[in-house]
Amino acid sequence: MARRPDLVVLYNAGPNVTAAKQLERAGIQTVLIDLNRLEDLGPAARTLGRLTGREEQAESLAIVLDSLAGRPPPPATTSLAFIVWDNPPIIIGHGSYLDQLATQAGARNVFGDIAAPSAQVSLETIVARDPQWIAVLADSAVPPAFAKRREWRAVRAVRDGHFLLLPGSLFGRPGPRSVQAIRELRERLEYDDVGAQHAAPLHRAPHR
Amino acid sequence: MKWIILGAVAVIALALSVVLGPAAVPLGELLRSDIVWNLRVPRALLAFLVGGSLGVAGASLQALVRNPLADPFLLGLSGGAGLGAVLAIALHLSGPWALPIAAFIGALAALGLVYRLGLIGGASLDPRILLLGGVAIGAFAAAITTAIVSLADAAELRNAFLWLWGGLSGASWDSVLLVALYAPIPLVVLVAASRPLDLLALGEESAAYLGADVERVKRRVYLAASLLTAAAVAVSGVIGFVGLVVPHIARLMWGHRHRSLLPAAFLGGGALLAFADTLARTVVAPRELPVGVVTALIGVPVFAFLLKRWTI
Repeated sequence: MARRPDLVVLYNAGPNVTAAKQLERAGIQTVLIDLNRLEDLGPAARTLGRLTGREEQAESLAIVLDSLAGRPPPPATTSLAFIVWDNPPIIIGHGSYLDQLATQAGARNVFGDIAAPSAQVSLETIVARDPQWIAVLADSAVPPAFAKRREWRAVRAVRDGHFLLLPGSLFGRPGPRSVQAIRELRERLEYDDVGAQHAAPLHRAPHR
Repeated sequence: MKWIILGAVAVIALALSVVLGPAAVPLGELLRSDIVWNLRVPRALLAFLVGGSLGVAGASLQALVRNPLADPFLLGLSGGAGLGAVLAIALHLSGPWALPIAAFIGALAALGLVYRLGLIGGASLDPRILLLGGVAIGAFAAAITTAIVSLADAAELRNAFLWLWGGLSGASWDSVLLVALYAPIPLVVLVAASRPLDLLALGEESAAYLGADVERVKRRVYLAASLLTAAAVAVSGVIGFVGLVVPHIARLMWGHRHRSLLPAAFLGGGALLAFADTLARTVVAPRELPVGVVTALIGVPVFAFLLKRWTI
């Protein structure tokens, strides 16, 4: 409040709803935005365009984002599991935009049957579902520490070093750059499919 | 007869945790399955060892502080372990064992501080101050942990809490071997203190008259039970309830003699945690429940039933 912003944009979640009410009472314009899935991007762009007086530009962006969320996905040619945390294993389910990114990039999320955005699962479930790739949000090219743990070596993709290390700045949240995220994920998957055949992968994490 | 039943319950709990799981493994392939040998068997054994250790630590501490509400984690160890784990992540300590080792060191640091506080009145270890010191050190460590997590910009730190809530996902043959080699030492120390622990129930003065070296027993029991708990928290986080309720259940069935009570608490704690973990892995498969939720859901009704039966 001390900085007197013209507009406060908050993610629509429990504690932020209370904060929004308090800010509105203090005379500060506040907006709560749902930003959980790709289909939320278009409406969010329009809302922000209206509030900042840039409706035309926002509409043009929103059309691109709406088409991204609505376009039919390509056939899945590979499978992956997003691992958010290793102990206990937390994976990404159908409710997350990351599941949508994978689908649009031509990969099947092996936990796409779990409706929640994320869930705790047993390691043996990951072994049984046998994803071809383990995707983790990471800003370095070093495989995650759990790759060295003996129990995780039961997962074939971990044993084979099939990690997709996705930069958090691009994949960490849905946004206008989600188009780029899908393109990059698709390129990595396609390149590594070819790389697997020709033994010259660039993006695959080094085998440990 | 009671021992045969308890032994059978323990064997059945272990067998179920190997046979049942979220992945379908046909019975005929159990012995050849990688999932069974690399994941289920070590997890079942670790659950049994951790549950048993918490049961014995709980029974010993309840006798030491002469308080039925004493729990292995009441003495500040969970707070210390949590701080250690969060610091390991904040300082970007890498390596597959960084988190458990840091948690173990954190628990040991809390143990040392609480022990020092317990001696604050002089050379005699005061159980009441141990309890109060444990609560205070635990709260202090938890406050620092929360401050680090809230100020840090890493989502990983928030995930550290998931680890602290307890679970056996990190089970491997390495962790089983580690606990199997480490736990017998404090377990033997505690079982060897069975008779003096019986005498302590009469009060420190009476125990001393009856020949117990009270100060030595108190130190040994506190250190052994805490070291046992620190190992459990390092490999499985904070799994509540087992160390609190299993000793009471065992006491209701085996009486107050620690020579019987401690082995019963070990088998009972092991069986409870192995069975609870099987349920945690299977009832909402492919998802998994935190095992602490299941230990509470099983243990409270059993405890209430036994209390009613024995007090009417």
